[in-house]
Amino acid sequence: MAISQWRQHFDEALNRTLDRTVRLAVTGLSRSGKTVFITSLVQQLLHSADNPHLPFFKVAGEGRLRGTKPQSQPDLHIPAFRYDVALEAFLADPPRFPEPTNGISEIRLAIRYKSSNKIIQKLSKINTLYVDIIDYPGEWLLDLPLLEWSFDEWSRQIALLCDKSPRNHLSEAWRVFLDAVDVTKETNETTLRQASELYTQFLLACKDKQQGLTLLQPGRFTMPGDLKGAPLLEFCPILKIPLGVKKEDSFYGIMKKRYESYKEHVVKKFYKEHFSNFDRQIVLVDVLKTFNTGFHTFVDMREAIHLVLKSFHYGKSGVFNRLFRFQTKVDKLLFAATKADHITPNQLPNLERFLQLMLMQANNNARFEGVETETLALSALQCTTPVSASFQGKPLSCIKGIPNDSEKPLAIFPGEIPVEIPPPEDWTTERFYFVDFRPPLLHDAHALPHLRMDRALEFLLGDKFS
Amino acid sequence: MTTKWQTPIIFDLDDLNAHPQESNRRPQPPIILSEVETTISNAEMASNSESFSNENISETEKPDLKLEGFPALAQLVEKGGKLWEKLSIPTTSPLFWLFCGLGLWWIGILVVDSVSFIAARFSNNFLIGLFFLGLFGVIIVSLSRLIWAAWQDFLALKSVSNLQTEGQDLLESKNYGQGISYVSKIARFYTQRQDVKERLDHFYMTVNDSHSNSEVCALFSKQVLKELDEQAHRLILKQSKETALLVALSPRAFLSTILTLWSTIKMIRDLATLYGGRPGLISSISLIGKVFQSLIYAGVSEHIAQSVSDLLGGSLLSVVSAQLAQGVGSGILTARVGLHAMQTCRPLPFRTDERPQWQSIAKEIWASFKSSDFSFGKTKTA
Ligand SMILES: Nc1nc2c(ncn2[C@@H]2O[C@H](COP(=O)(O)OP(=O)(O)OP(=O)(O)O)[C@@H](O)[C@H]2O)c(=O)[nH]1
Ligand SMILES: [Mg+2]
Repeated sequence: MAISQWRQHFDEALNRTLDRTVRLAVTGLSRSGKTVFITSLVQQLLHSADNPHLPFFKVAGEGRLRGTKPQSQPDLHIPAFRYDVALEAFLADPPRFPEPTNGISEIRLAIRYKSSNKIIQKLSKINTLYVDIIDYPGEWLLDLPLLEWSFDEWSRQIALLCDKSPRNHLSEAWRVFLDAVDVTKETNETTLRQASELYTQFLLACKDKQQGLTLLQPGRFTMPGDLKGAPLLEFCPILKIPLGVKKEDSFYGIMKKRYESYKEHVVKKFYKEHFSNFDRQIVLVDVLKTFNTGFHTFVDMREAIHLVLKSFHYGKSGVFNRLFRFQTKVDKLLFAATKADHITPNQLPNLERFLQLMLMQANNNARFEGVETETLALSALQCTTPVSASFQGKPLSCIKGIPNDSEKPLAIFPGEIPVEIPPPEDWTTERFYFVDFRPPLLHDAHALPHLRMDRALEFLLGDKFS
Repeated sequence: MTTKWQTPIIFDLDDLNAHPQESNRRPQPPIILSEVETTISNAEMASNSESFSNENISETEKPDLKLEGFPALAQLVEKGGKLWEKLSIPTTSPLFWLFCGLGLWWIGILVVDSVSFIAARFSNNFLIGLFFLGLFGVIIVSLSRLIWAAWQDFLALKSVSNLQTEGQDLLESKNYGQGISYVSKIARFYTQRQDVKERLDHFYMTVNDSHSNSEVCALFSKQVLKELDEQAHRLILKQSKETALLVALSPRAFLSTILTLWSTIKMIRDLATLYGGRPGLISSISLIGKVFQSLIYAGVSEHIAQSVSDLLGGSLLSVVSAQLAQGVGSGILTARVGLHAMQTCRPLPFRTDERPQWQSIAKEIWASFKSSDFSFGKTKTA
């Protein structure tokens, strides 16, 4: 009796130690496909036990998965991730994509599986892996580099950016306004508000689809979320830093103070709560968008991603670790080119090679710190089907789908993905023409059609199921 | 301006087979097409591109024969020419011509003799002549049918090895589009097999166009062939255990050798059947020849002694009876023959990490000996 009781206790304790938690950081600039990726990932896992479309996700392929359930998340003050809302949008008629995310949300999945390890199998028949994922607006990610910069440094960066086209003419109004203000003198609330409003308008103009710029700081200005209208967001950088101004209530002094409190109360809090302690990271990049909008947006996006990833610095010396005194222990990092269904399958290797080229520096840094990295082209929700059309008597592989802004299906050969970064004058519609497709008509949402989600899952989580 | 790349092309469709129109959303459509047919691609896309490339090849390789009037004949000649090349018979060797000459000589004599013999019968008695003519006819017909069957057999074996070379290329390629059509060529072997068919269906459900050639092959290997591999493995294990025991127990070396040889050949044929070939006489012989050839390449004989002593441990070898060692040795030999037969018969070559290891079989043979150690020792002493 006593022994059997003891045994039971032992088993429970053992189970607890065998259960593991993985915190997966899904990183991506705004509109890079985070929400769709997380929804697809959740949906693939929820139906993984009977899903034949995950052949390269080993636990599923080997039939060791027992099932997945969403669980109440560990951080009770964060809203739950509403994958059901995204699913509803996919299943609507006509199907559409979810709205841009405007706040933070979290989901925890409990995945039951049978271990492949004989010893663990003996100890416990079924194990559980908990996966925590957080969704947030991509705009906020660009706040991360601010943590490292003082107000002066940041202002200098912005001034540099505003020298070049197209930012120089987009920022015209704001710059003219600033030039008229003497930043060393005392000022009133209206001037401050006007300056920050003009700056916000400038950022929004950059964000516009036509411009397609991504390196926009501070992130809350373009996506305020719960801080909409809060005085915390009423500041802006200054183009010419005055020397030796000590006055606290000058224009410069106030802006600087507000910048610091933005960092302290908004940025630090966000990262401390949500980006601490993750084990695995996926960086989603929408490479194709830049092909459509031109070379300068490509440079802008590359810069933004590098800035963000630099702050994630994986070794001991990263800002993260210095600021918050914890050691990020991420050991696997996946760079993923999203929306791979916009190109023909034979271009997938090229897309991967291009992304590798684009993020070479970040990749090298991570590897240097001992992080295992991989590059993959994937599509969380496959919206097109590959078709073959005859063109000038030869078969040509195309993709077919319904564009977002139309009702008619379209077959298109969107252009070849280059394996080298093309010269700026080549980024034209003559060469690239990627169309945004709407989600496919789904009869049920059991397993969303995807491209290579199984590979991503295997890389990110596969080893945890051993 | 000349461009190195293919410019984007848009086909506007109302349904699958609609004609493309100029898209008005597009500021400057680079190419407008008058007629386009799109097909849902799967294997079809691959076969399209394949037929395309075949066309190219056959144009360049077409032999210089003036047979325009007889397309069928021309085709046959062309096919024959290709086959001839494929068979790679050493036509420059005098030995080849010697054998050819002798063979033809012999056949010629036979035919001439028979004809004059039959003619003689006819001149004697019409009925007897008719009888022998009929007999001659029967012999000719059955002979040619046999030769035909053997030829077919030979071609089948050839096709397996062709598939293997193709598969090897695909496994290493990063391209798209050829994988599925290749795999469906293999799948033709299994159309009659209910057990394989289920897994094939599952495979076709899983695979899609965005899998690269090597991914398609890996998937096929994992989802369809793996089960066959396991069956083959079991078959080999069983056979090698039996052989090992037989040799270890048999008092007559000659008898056990004959039995081993027989059962080994049977095993090879079973393996060929398992992987989808229906081996006839010729292909069996050439299969067996191939298997042993590859065995010789592998330098098995040296390995065997080494592996037996590895298994038993150097000091132990002197203790156990020589016959036991012989048994284990021939068991391992059988296993290796079996694994080579597996590699020869499997239409899709193994990837390096899938390749079956004979060492594991050797261990199991030894384990089975150990478990039956006692009874074995007793029978020996008794
Ligand atoms: N065709 C296709 N389009 C996709 C895919 N994933 C994302 N998209 C497109 O990208 C857009 C943005 O996707 P989201 O997942 O909302 O992007 P996000 O990173 O969450 O964006 P924010 O919430 O603004 O940070 C969608 O509206 C789709 O148009 C995909 O797998 N295939
Ligand atoms: Mg989102």
